[in-house]
Amino acid sequence: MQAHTQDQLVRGVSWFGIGIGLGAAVARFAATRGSRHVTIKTSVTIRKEPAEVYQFCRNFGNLSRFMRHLSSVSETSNGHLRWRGKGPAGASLTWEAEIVADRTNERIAWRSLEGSMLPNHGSVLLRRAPQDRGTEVHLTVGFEPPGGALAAKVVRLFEGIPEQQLKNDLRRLKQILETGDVVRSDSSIHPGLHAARPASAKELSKVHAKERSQVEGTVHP
Amino acid sequence: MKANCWYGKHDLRVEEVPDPQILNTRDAIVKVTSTAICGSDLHLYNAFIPSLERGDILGHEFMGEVVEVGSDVKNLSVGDRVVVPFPIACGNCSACIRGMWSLCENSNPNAWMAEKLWGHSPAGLFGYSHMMGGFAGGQAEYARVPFADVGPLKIPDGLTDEQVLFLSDIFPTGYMGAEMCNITPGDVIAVWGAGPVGQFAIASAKMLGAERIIAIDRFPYRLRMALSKAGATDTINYEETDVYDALQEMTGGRGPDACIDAVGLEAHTPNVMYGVDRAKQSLMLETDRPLALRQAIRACKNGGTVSVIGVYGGFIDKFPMGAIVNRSLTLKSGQCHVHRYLKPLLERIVRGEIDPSFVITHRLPLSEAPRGYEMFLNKDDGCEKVVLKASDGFASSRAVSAAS
Repeated sequence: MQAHTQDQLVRGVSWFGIGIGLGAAVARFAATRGSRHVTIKTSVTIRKEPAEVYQFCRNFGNLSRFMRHLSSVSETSNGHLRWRGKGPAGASLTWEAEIVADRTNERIAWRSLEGSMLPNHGSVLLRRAPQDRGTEVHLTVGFEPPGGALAAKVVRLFEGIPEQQLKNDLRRLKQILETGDVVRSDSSIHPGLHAARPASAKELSKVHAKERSQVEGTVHP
Repeated sequence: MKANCWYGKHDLRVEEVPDPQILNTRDAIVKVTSTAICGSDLHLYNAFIPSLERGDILGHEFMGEVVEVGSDVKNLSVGDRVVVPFPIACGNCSACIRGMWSLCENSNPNAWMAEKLWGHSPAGLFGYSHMMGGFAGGQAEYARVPFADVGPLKIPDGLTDEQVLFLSDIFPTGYMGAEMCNITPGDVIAVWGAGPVGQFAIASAKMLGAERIIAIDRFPYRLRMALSKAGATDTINYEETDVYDALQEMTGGRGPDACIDAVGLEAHTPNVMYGVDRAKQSLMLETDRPLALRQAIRACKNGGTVSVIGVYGGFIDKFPMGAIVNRSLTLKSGQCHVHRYLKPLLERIVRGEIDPSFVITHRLPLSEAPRGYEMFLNKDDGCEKVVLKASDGFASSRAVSAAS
């Protein structure tokens, strides 16, 4: 969990009901760390047709618009994906993955190539929700940290990508598809804790610069 | 611009802050003309709501003039006079489509915080903690309004700010409280709390055809207002009279057909339970004191409805679930789905069926907001409702920016 999010949790919402959720998360995390395998599953329901969700997600350049730990995803000439990830302390990691399944409007799955710095695999499963409830998006991501000296760095990176973060990513995907954009509040546009008041011109130019780099880092195939 | 900022329990400061900017293409910037202090703002003032940060701008009841619109706002123009509903709603998600506007699935960027506390997140709100989105509030000279293509209600000429300001929250909230009672001819409705929301619950119950409306409070001036302005038929001062006994007497032993809790988490009673719940709150054994709610459930007739519009934030103790199950009571609640009521209630104002300005007792410039909170909290000088005039007290300090 990123330092500032944890800080927000502890300072901002430190009421006892929340302690229960936090405790459960820590316990779950401790359990998964023992095995060095982490599988995270999370889902969201989006009021759009599966085809629309599929097309948006299949355009891999869109992923960094709603996945905060990614700075870009691009397709290489041989059809692989190049991911560039952001670690908690400004650390950057690049890895390549291949698409191992691609069923139109239903499922996309990937697996990182051998020798990748961050061995991982995952899938996005689209399922039509009952009646007019839209499309369920089920995201599964598995991390397999390698041993050796690299392991520590890699473990640190995926510690910054817990379930909550992926859940927030899916919520932003829902915001983009349903409302047209990621919804911003006076506090949410800042990386750390910020009072609910408008940003100063200086703070705002920082926010815009970050968004620009995000967009420029995006390669549309 | 100037804004009323929270710095801790009973510590508010009107200070200079940056002007709001368009952050999403569906935003508008509103130059606030009138804004009000809500009873639920007192829960923030008393630091009962978690996830506030020093420097947060408060306020969720406001109206004003559109001064800038984002590129995707086609229904509003610069110069339009609008009232802004306190829940922020996208109009696109399943909740909005079903008319459950205060449950908008997209408008809370900090939804994860609310999920930790409540399991799922409701809509984002203006000026009401980071758990509810971290949006700056409207007790300021200017406010950014997200989803301005969905929320703000254009106000026709000929109506004053004071007649329409309360469409932003307390009039629809009181109305929804009465509507949830499914009032039929002959019904007796008891309303706990004769604060501004209680007054509008009473006035709405009358509009919806209740036979008898009983206001319950401990401040004589509030009970007088309920009788003379809102339309209550009877009052109970709970410091002088046992509420249950009085309601039994007034209803021939049946109990009220429906009970409205317009009090919420900081309830008060003259008996020992007040001390018990107050102590539990300070020991964090419960976050909210449900004193009015317990009374309402106990008093309600068999098969009746308990409608909860007072604000609760967390957990309560000694909840009389047995009464609900064994007496077939219906419990209804919700943060008001304001968008649903804007037009119908504006029409009632235009037709002259109600003039919501009857609750206003104090008018202050925005610069005196902290004093307004203090008066409202202490019920000084017969304080019922404080309206802040945002453009009084200091010259507008916002730099003029071109509408995009």
